[in-house]
Amino acid sequence: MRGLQNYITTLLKQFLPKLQGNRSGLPLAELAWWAFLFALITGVILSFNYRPWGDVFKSVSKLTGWLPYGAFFRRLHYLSGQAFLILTFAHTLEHFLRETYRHIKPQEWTKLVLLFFLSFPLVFTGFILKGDKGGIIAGRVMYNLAQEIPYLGSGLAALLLRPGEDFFLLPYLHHTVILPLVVIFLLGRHRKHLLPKGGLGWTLMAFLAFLATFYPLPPDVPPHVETTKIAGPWFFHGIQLLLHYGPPFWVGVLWPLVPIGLLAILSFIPSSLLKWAKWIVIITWLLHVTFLLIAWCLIPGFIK
Amino acid sequence: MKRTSIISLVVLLLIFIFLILRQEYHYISSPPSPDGCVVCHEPETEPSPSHLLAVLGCSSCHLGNPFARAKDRAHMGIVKNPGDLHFSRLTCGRNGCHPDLPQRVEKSIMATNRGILKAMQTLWPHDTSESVHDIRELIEKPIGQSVALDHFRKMCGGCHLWRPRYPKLGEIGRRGGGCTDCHIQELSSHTQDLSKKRFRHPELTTRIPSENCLKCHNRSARIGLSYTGRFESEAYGTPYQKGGPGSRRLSGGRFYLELPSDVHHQKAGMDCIDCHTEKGVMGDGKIYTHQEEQVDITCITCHDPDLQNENPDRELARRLERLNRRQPSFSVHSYLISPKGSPLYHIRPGPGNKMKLYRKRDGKEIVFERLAQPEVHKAPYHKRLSCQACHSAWMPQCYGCHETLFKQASQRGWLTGKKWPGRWVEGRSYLRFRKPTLGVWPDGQIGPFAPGCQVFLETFDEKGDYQPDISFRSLVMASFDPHTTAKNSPDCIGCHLDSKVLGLGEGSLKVTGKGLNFKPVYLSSESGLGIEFPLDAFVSAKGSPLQKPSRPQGRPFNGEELQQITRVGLCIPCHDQYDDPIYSRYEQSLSRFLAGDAPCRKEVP
Amino acid sequence: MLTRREVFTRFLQCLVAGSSLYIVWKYVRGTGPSSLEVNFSKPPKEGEVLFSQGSYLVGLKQGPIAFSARCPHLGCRLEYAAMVQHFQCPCHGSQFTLEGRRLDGPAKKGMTILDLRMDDRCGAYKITLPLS
Repeated sequence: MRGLQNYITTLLKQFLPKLQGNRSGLPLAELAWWAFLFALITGVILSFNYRPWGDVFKSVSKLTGWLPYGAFFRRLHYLSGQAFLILTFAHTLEHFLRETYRHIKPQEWTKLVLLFFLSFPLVFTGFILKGDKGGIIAGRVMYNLAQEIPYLGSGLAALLLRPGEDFFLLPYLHHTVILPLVVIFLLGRHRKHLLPKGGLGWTLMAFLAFLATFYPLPPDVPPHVETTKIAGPWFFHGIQLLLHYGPPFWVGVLWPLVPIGLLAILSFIPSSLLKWAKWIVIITWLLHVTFLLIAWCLIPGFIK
Repeated sequence: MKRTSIISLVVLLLIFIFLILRQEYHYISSPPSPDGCVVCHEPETEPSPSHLLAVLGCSSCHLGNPFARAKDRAHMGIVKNPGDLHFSRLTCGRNGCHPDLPQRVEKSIMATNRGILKAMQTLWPHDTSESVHDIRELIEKPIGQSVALDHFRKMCGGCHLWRPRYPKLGEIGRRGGGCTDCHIQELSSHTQDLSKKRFRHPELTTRIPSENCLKCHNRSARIGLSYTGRFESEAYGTPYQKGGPGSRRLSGGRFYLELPSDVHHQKAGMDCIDCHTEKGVMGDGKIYTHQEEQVDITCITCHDPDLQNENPDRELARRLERLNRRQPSFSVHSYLISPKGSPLYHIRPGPGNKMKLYRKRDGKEIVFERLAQPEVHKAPYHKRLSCQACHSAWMPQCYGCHETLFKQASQRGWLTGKKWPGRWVEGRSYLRFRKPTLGVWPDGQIGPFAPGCQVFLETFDEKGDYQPDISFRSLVMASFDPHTTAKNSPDCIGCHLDSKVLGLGEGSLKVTGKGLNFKPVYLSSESGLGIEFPLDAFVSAKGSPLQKPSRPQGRPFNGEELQQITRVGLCIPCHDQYDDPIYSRYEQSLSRFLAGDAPCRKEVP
Repeated sequence: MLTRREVFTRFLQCLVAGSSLYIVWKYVRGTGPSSLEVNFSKPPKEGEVLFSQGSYLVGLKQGPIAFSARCPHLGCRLEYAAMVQHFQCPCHGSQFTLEGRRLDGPAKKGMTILDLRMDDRCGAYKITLPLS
C-alpha cells in the first residue's frame, strides 16, 4: 500500500512539480483566483446586456451574435469559469496529495472543501443561464432532483428555481450574487491578500483571451427544438449516465455528494483510520472519473 | 515587471487590436432589427400587412436562432413552414399571436379526417381491433391487416392538414402545410432559390381564394368542381382539340366538361369563404365525427335570417372586418349570425326585402333577396324538403367503384411516404351528371344522395391467387350538398314522377293500382356485377333499401313515402300550382277523388 | 527616474487598458435600433389627431403632418387636449398648437416634425421615429 502511494506521488510529481513543503511549483491557487476574478469581471460586463426574463434565448443569441464583442466576452467568461473550476480542482488535489488536512484545523479544511464544492454550482448555474434547451433542461433536472430529497426537497427546490416565467431569475441570483459573495467571503479568510499580486494574471488573461478569440462555443440549441439527446455540463456527464439506470435521489443527489463529503470530513477522521479514509476518497473520485470517461468515450452519441 | 508579463501584455494588446479591427471593418456594426435573419435573407414582399417583417422579424414565425451569424447555428431548429401543424403551437399559436387557433384546427375535421376514417371502417369489412379515430393515430399505428385502412393510407390520405408541404410540382405540391394549406396565396416558393438573398415571401391572407380549397375538394364528392361548373368526365379527353385530348384538364390525368356552376359562383362570383365561416372551417375546438356537424352555415342563415336576433359578437365582427381590409367601413350596422354564433360581418340587411353581401375577396356589393314566394317555400307539405332537394341542378354521380388489391406489388402510402405490399387499382362503372337521387338525410330533411362509394373489391394474395374471403361488395349512397345551386327548381313532375329522383334508378315507372311498377334500364346481374338491382337504385319499388346510406340515420324513401309522392304526382299535370286549392286541403281532396266525387277521375287506389 | 523598460511597460499597460475599456464600452453601450417605424393605417381627417407609439399624426388643411410626442423641453410625453385643440406637456406646462408651434411654457422651440411617407401598397402612413 505504501509502495503504491509512493508510486502515485512520484507520478504526479512529474505533472505537479515541487510538491514539497507549502510551496507548489505551479501556483494553482493563484491561477484559480485570477480565473475567478476574470469570470467575475466578464460576468459584470455581460450582465449589462443579459436579461434573465422574457425570451432569454433570443437575448443571449443577440448578445452573442450581434452585440459588439459580445461573443468574445461570453467566451471569455465561459473559459474563465471552466479554468476556475479546473484550477480549483487541481489545487484541491494538490493539497489532498500533500495531506494538508493533517496540518490545518479541521473546520478550516472543511470550509476549503466547501469552497471547492461551490465552484460546481457556480458553473452549473451559468450553464442554465445560457437560456438554450440544454440550460432549461439542466434547470428542470436540478429542480426535480432537489425535490427528491426527503422532507427538505420542496423547500430547497423553491430556493433554487421557480418554474414558469421566472425560470431564470433564481439561477441568475445565485450565479451573479449569492455564490460569488459566498466564495469571496470564504476565500477572504483563506488568502492573505484578496487582490492577487504578480504577473501571473497577465499570462492567464492573455491565454484565455487568445482562446476566447478563436475557440468556438458549443452551439446553443433553441428551446423549441425536439431532440432525443441533450447533455448537461461536462462534469456532470457521468451522473447523467447513471441517472439513466439508477433511482434519482441515490445517483443524482447522494452519490455526487459522497466524494465531496468524504473529502470534507477527512480532517475529522482519527489518524489511525486516515490512511483508509484517504483511499476511500480516492476510489470514490476515481469512480466518478470512470463514469465520466464512460459517458464520453465508450458510449458515443450519448452526449452529443 | 517580469518578461512573461510583458509578453502577455503584448499578446493581449495584439488580441484586442485584432478584435477591434475585425469588429469595425468586418462585421456590420448595428444589429438588424428585429432579428438577424435579414442580413442573409431579404424578402422583396411582406407576408401580410398584419405580419410586417419590421415588427415581427422572421424568427417569431420561423424560429431558429435569430441572431447567430453562422448559417448552421442560425438554422438550428428552423421551421420552413411555420403553419405546419407539428410546429404551429410554437409559431402561429405563440403567446400574443393566435394562441387558440392551432388547438382548434388540430381537432377540426380537415385535420383529423374522422369522417372518412369512420365511414371506411364502418362501411367496409373491418376488424375493429385495428380501428383508429383520426389521422394522427393512424400515422403512429403500424401497418395492419385492415383493407379499409390500407386503402385510406394509399388512396385517400393525401388531403389533410397534418400533411407537410413538400416541394413537388402540381396540385400535390400545393396540398398540406397546416395553416398555410389555406392561408397562403399560392406562390411557387419551393422553386425559388433561397440561397439567394432576395426572394419573394409567400403572402398570407384571410381572403382565402377558392383555388386553395379546390386543391383537395375536387375529389370524392367533387363539390369544389361542381361549384365552379366543372364535371369530371370520362377519361377520353373529349372534345378533342387539334386531334388530341382537350385542354379541359384536372389533376391526376382527368378531364372535365363545363356545366352550369352554382348560382352563387355564376351570378355573384362568391368564393367558398363567403359562405363558410372560420368556425365552420377551422373548427370550434370540439371534435366532430362528420363534416356536417362542423359546417357552420345553412342556406337559411342568409336567405331567411332571423333579424330579430341582433346581438352579435361586435368586437370579433369589427376585428374580422378590419382584418379583411376590403369591407366598407360603416361605423354601425347589424350583422347576421351563423348557426354557431359566428358574426357574418360581410352580410347585412338591406332596404326592404333585400340583403347585402360584401364579397370577402374584394368587398364588391352583392344584393340579393330574402326568401320570396312563401307559398312555395313555406308550403307545409314540403316542410321536410331541404333547399338542396329542389335547387340542386345536377350532381356528379360516380357509379361502381371497382377496386383491386394486388398484394404481389407495393404501393407508397400518403401518410408516411413509405412503400409496403398491396397495390390498389381503381376503376368505375360509369360517371354521370344528372338530377340527384333524393332520400332522407340524417337530420330528417329530404335531400340529394349520390354514390359514395359503391365498392366492388377483389383481393389477390402474394402469389396472385384470388382471396374470396376478404373480397367484398359494399354499396353506399352518400348524402351531401352537391354545391350546384340553381335559382329555378325542376318542375313538380320532375321529382314526383321521376324514377331516378325517387331513388328507383333510371327506367320506366308506372303507377298502378297495385303499386309502383318499375323496369330499370341498367341490368346489373347481366352486366356481371353480381347484384340484382341497378347501380343507381337506392330503393326498390316496394320501398326496401337496396344500398347502405353513408350515415346510419339516413335512408331512401320508404314504401309509404314512395306511394305518397307518386300519388300526388298523378295530380300534378292538372294541378300544377302551389296555391291550387286541392293542396291546401289535400286529404279531403284525395278522399273526394277516391270516392269518385272529384271532377277529374282516374283509376288510382 | 524610470527605466526604458518601465516606460515601455507603462505604455503597454495604458494601451491594453485603453483598448480593453474601448471594447467594454462598445459592448456595454449595445446598439439597439436607432429608430422605430410607426404605421397609421388611415389618414386623419382635417382637425383630427391620431396617436401611436410616441408619435402624433395631425390632419391639417394642407395635409397630414407628423410630430414626435416628446416635449422638446425635457422629453415628457405631450398630451392632446381636444377641447382647446392644443398639445400640452403635463410635466412643466409647455403648450403647442395643432401645427406644432410653441404657444407657452418653458420649451424653447416647437414640436419636432417627423419624416412622413405613404405606403403605396396599402395606403398606410409611415413615420420614422428616432429613439435617441
